[in-house]
Amino acid sequence: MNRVRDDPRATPAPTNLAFHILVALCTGPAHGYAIGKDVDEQSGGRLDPTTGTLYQALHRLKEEGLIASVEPPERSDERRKYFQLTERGRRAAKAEARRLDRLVRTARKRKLYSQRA
Amino acid sequence: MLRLYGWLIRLSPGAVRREYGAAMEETFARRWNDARATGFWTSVRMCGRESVGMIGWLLSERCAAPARLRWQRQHMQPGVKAGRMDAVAREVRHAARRLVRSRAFTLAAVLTLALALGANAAIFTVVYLVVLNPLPYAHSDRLIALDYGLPNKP
Repeated sequence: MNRVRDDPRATPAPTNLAFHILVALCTGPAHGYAIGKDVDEQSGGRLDPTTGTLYQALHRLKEEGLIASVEPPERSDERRKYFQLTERGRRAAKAEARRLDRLVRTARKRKLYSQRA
Repeated sequence: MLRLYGWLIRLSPGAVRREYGAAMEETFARRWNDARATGFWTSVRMCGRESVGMIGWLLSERCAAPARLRWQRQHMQPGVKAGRMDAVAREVRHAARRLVRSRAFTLAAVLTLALALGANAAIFTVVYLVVLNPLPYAHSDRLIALDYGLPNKP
């Protein structure tokens, strides 16, 4: 069972929102509001998940073992829940970033857009 | 609005409420403050989106998640075979039973839908009368325009 969990091939490609959340958590633990804001900014406003959608995605990522809850820092609002990337989540995010990078390079090579555009 | 959102969270399943309820309320409160600072219509839009998103999640957690679990359990057991329509009918029956059992949730969902449909109908009526502005004659849809032209030059 653990072997299946640790195998990166066993992890399906994260959805667009899930990948944005993983990228938002790359720099360290964050709470729901900060994650939502980062997702909104990084997607240029195209992804603006509602609170329900955001926590649903966080719940799924946690169940899949890609993120984990951590203790909030001192003097923070006690209602806040902090999340951080797990090693598995970091690997999944890295794999997806590489895949997208390859895709973008192919698009550029096929003259979909120029470097300067 | 904060209170309404709190009620919606209280309708969510116990495990989800215990784990994320307080955090969701806090996140929603901060987003609500941001939206209010931006403007009236932004906050109205946010209210609609958040309510629909929350009800969608509640429905998914209350109905779809247990059904998904059962489906997985059933399909993992060898020798258990059922027709596709049997499975759909069973899921529909189960969803109906759950809705009857959790009456507060069903009432909230039905009321929200009723309010949304009513508001939609009212807004459409106003838009129809104000923007589309039908002609002020009885049976205006039966009015026609007559014109004439030369037979060889249509």
